[in-house]
Amino acid sequence: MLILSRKVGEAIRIGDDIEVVVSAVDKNKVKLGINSPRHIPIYREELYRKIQQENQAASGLGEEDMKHILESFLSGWINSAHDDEEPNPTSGAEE
Amino acid sequence: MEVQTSRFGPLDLPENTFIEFPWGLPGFETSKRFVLLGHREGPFQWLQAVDQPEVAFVVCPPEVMGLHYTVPPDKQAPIGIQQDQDLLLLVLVSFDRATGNLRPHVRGPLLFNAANRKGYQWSLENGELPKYLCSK
Repeated sequence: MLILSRKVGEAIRIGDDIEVVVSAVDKNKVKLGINSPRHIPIYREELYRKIQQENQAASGLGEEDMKHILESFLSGWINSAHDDEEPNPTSGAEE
Repeated sequence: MEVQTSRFGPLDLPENTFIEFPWGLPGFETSKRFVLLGHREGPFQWLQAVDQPEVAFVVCPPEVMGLHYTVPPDKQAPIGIQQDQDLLLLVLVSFDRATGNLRPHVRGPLLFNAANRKGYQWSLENGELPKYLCSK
């Protein structure tokens, strides 16, 4: 892994169009500003992993499940509560 | 083009029905092309990977699950949405065989641009859920 030291206000550049600026440093928290082309999705690592896991779980369904899904749906058995979410108030998006 | 699928056997599908996912999906980063396969009845469809026979997801319009998203312009930008009517959303669905419980993946809706047939998975941070998602 490449490790670079940067001060607040300094930046690194990845390729020719991505700039990562250290905007603030706290005891164990760093705020980063990212300038990148608008078409590149950017994720917090833990959210990316969470979505990975969710996608893996969703990919295991077969044709038989589809039948049951339809039955469940027609009988109103939907859980749209966010019960898969772990509360994590510190990771909210900050502009 | 003949698309191999583990669930439905080989399917002969025109390439202009394919949807390009430039970044794949988290966990399926190498799956760059998908196709939507309708199910006989009901609002559910299969999102089948063109190049990985075993990769397929059950998807449906979010409204079917009572989910209403507002997609901010910067989240539409990755697939180059120019007009509102080109933006389509689908959510992945999980199913628990033991309980019969159906669960939409609220945090990672799929966004599509009907004009250029591109798609990607938007991932909402905790703080963004109340801002961009209305469920009823």
